[in-house]
Amino acid sequence: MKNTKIEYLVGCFVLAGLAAILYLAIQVGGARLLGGDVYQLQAQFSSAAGVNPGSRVEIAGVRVGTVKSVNLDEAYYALVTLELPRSVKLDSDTIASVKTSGLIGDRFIELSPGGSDLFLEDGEMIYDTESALDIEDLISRFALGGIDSNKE
Amino acid sequence: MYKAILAGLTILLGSTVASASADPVEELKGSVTEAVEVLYGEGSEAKSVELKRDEVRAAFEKNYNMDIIIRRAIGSNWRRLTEEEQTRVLELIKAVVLKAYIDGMEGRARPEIRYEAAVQLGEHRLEIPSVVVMEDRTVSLKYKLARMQSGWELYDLVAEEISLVANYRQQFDEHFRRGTAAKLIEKLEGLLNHEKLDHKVTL
Repeated sequence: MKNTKIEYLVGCFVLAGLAAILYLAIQVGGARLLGGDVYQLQAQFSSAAGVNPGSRVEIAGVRVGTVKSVNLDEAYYALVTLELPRSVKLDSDTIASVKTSGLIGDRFIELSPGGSDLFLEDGEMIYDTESALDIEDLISRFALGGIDSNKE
Repeated sequence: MYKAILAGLTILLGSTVASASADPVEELKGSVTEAVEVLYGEGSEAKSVELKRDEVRAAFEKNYNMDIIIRRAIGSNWRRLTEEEQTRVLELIKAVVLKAYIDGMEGRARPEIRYEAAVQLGEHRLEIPSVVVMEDRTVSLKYKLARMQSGWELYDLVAEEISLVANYRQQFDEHFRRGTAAKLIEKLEGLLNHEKLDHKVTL
């Protein structure tokens, strides 16, 4: 009788541990147990370097969603799928920018809501995008001269 | 320095995109040439700055709805404005952009504009990359067009990978974080009262 009780408690403890590990894995992976009240938008970037599935999506520095996937489209643009709660309604002239936390921090997507009053629906595309500032490109332009240097 | 001039310039140059054009690229090229002619064509030296401003504006408003690009730049702050303020702000921004453009280009050599192949983004979006060669430098400039109910409209300009709409939206966001619509109108009126505006038109 006593052994059964101990075994029962151990079983509960193991189950609780497994549940905690599962929860942690889901949170870290940016996934969801249930579908939830979310919708997806796509954004097309000339470069989405550093953005990965699970990366943050923010508005005014507040996390509102997650990057679901990053793929290459037929025109060789980076096609980023964003997952957002339905409570976050975005106008069609929303701007999506790839930003960096600090100088060398993680890349994330910053959304700047528009004011068109035409809201983006599930699966629609954000065309107004800004790729991340390319430090190497800036340095090379500065060092070697870029398109701006027209002086003979 | 030249980006803001170009921003103003290209709003106006690109602004005359004909709405019902079968070929938006050719229409854009034609419109840009037409706008450049106002400033550098035959007899332009004899025109006053005010006259050039009026002619560019007339050519612009004949074919293009500048409100689109301005509203996009204002973004979500648009909802903070009353109807009266919206009308006033639109009018003031148009006037400031025209003034900055004309003042900025005054006395400069005619720019050469080279176009690259247009990129179709879906059925209703088009990007037309170009290179603007000015007397002392060359700048890449991308025209972004969208097919709207009124036809193909210019909705953004990207100079050296910097979006005009995104750049100005940041400034409007920053203003509205602390300021009011009345203050914005005051600032814009102040800019218009400057004797001469240059490329550094900031709020």
